[in-house]
Order: sequence, then C-alpha cells, then structure tokens
Amino acid sequence: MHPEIDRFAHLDSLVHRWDPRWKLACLFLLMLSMGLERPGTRDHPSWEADLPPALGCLGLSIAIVLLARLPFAVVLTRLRGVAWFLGIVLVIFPLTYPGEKIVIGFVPVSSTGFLVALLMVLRAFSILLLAIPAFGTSRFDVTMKALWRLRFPAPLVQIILFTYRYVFVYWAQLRRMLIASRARGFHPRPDLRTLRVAGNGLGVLLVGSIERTQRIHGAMKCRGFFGTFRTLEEFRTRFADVALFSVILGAGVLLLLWRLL
Amino acid sequence: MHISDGVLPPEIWLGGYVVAGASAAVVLRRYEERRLPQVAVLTSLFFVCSLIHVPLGGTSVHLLLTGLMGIVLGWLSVPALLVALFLQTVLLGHGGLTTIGVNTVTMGAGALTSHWIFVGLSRGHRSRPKALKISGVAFSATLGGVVVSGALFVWVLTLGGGSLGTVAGIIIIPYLAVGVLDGLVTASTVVFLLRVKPELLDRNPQPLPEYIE
Repeated sequence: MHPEIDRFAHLDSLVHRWDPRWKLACLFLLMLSMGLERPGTRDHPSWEADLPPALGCLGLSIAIVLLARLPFAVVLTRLRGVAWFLGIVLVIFPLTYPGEKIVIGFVPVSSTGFLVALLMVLRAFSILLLAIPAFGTSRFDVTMKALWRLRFPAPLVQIILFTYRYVFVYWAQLRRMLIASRARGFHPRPDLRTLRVAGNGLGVLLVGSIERTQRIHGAMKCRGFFGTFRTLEEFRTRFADVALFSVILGAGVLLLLWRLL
Repeated sequence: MHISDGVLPPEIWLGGYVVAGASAAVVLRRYEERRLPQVAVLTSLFFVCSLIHVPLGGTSVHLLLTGLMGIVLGWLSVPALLVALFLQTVLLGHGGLTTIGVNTVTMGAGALTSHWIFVGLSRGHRSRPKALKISGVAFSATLGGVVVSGALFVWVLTLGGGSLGTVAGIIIIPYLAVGVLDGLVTASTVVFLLRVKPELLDRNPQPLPEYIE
C-alpha cells in the first residue's frame, strides 16, 4: 500500500508549478463538468453519439496526467479500486438492459446496455485520473491550505490534515501488532477465534488512541491551539496560473457543450 | 460498497453532497472546534483498521467498521465518514470523487442506526451489563446498521436507473456476509472496551470525554 498521496510532489512540471488554489479549483470544476451526465437513466436517441465526447474527456484527463509528468503506470494502478464495481456494471448492463437484444451463442446481449456501461466506465476513469494531478502534485499540507483559502470549511480541513497525519502512525502500529501476533504463533484463519483476536486488537488500538488524543490535545493547548488555522504558506497568483486554468477549463466546457448539444 | 464515479446521474450525487455536507456542518457546529483533533485521530484509526483483511472462504475481505464507528462516535461519525471516504478515494482510489457525498449518506445512515440500536438496547441497566448480553447488543447493532446502509445503497443505485438496481443486488450479497463478520468483530471489540474502558460506551450525548481543561 502506498497511502502517501504526495509522494510525487517533489517532481517538477507545469502542473507542479501551478498555484494550488487555481489547480484545485480548475480540476474540481473539470471533475464536476465530467460528472454532469446521465448515462443509462432515460431513453436516448443515440448513445453512439456520446462515445466521442466521453473519449475526449478521457483524453483530456490523460493529457493532464502526462502534463504533470506522473509515472503513468502508477496512476493506472489506482484504477484497480473501482475495477470490481465497474466490472460488474460491464457484465450486468449488456445482459439486463431493456430493449432489443442480439443473441451471441445462447446469451441475449443488448448492445445499448454495453454502450451505456462503457460510457460509465469511461466517465469514471476520466474523473478518477484527475485525483493524482489534483491532490498529488503539491505537499498535502499545502493542498489543504489551498482548499482552506478556497473557502472549504476550516473544521473539515483540520480534520483531514490531522487524519492524514495519524493514518501513518496507526498504519505503523497495526503492522507492529500483526508482526507481534505472528511472532506469538498466531495465523489468521476463517474461524471465530481469529475474529475475536481481531476485535480485541481493535479495542487495544481504540483505547490507546483515545488516550493519545488527550495527550495530543494537551500538547496542542500548550502551543496555543484554540481551533484556528494558522499557516506560513502564502500563495501568489501569476499569469501562467490563470492561463492554465482557462485553457483546461475551456477544454472541459467545450467537451460539456459537445455532449449536451 | 463504494459507489464509483460516472455511474449516478448528477442530481443524485449532487444531492448526496448536499445532505452529507449539511449534516456534517450541523454536527460540527454542535461540538467545539478544540475537539477536532480527537475526532480526527479516531477517524484515522478507523481508516487504517478498515484496511484489515479477514480471510473468508478462500478470498479475504476488509472490515467495514461503520457499526463500531457509530457506537463509539455517535453523530460525530458523519463528519468522520466524510473525511475517511475522501481519503479513501484520494489515497487508495476506492469509490469516487463525485460520489463522496452519496457514499457518506449511505454509510452514515448505517453508523447512526448502529448507534441508536446500541443505545436503545443497552438502556435500562445502571451497572455493568453482562459480556454476553453486550456482545449480542453490539452484534445486532452492527448488523442493523449494515442492513440499513445496504438498503440505502440499493435504493440509490436503483434511482440511478438502467440496470444499476441489478448491479446493486449482486454487490449487496457479499456485503451482507461481510456485515456478519463485522458484527462478530465489533462484538468482541465492545466486550473488550467494556472490560478496559467502559466510559467509552457511555450513553451520554458527548461520546468523547473531555479530560484536559
């Protein structure tokens, strides 16, 4: 597992140098524009006509990933998380979509259903590919500061920052506990005892974490924390930031108009 | 159980954002900002623990833990789930960016159901309840939450139209099986908490006790 989203933040590219506020705003709006579609929900005269714009969206997302000079293979592995869901969609839609069917072998298959499922998969990939260019090309704390500057609610930004920080602490602790249990001869098996051990381990982590939050809270109070968000990072907008914003968002709007008109 | 991007029509995922955002805002307003670190630390704990894989019939499945989250955090599980789902999408690529709201609503409803079942069934005895009874209560609370969020999941996907209802029906079966495992794990965790730190399971409306003032 590689939970460090910002492990590519040290690379250098046009996207990396982009002001995080403009970058997040642009890619978020692009993501919304790509999601504004209703595949498979109502009768549509020609689903085929939707295929080129959907491919265009995917092309735009791939172009942004390439522009950010991210290792493409690594970005692709992130799509595995939705493979199950979309795989089921790809199998079920052709078999059960209402309308006329072609019989292949013994199985009646709806080509419209296949097309609708394909459109869904293309759209999902277009949106998900934007996650790493959006959140992986600056340090995570800088990204969060940018979100806060974009009027994202401050309490949520703080929770996200803290949560992200402690994910690594607990990941390491969980690994330590797994190694310790294995050293004591424990092997996970599909039985009740394994579940009970897992439950007790969870309880140990939970009790420890409650006590830890009290210490963290105390330490933060000592350093003058009263719930406000302070930052040393300052953002400055340059011409290139606005230019990149307009170009990418313009392309997104054109693709949206192409789909809607 | 994560609905992915690109599947739902816009009015549904936008509605999900509205419902999830509004309820998270209401919940966070009720709690002081100084307590955010506590919520966050528990959120990351649940995030990491949901990566635990349990062997099940040849494959392995990961725990849901929404039931335990609801039992321990109560209403705070709504913002916690919102953040956890955001991180799951961004860090691990599970679910989708446009569907964070919808997924928060389905799972949050499950977590709150677990909370209410747990509170409702364990009401009535002042002294320490028996371990067997409390584990039964925790198991049914978790399973109830799983059933509720499963039903919401099916409902949302059916609203999405096309053959999405069938897709939901196929996904829901292994999900319910995982829910049983989750209930057993949560039951033993709750028994452990009862023995070690029973104040965590107190029925007061503020689930995180304030120790340092």
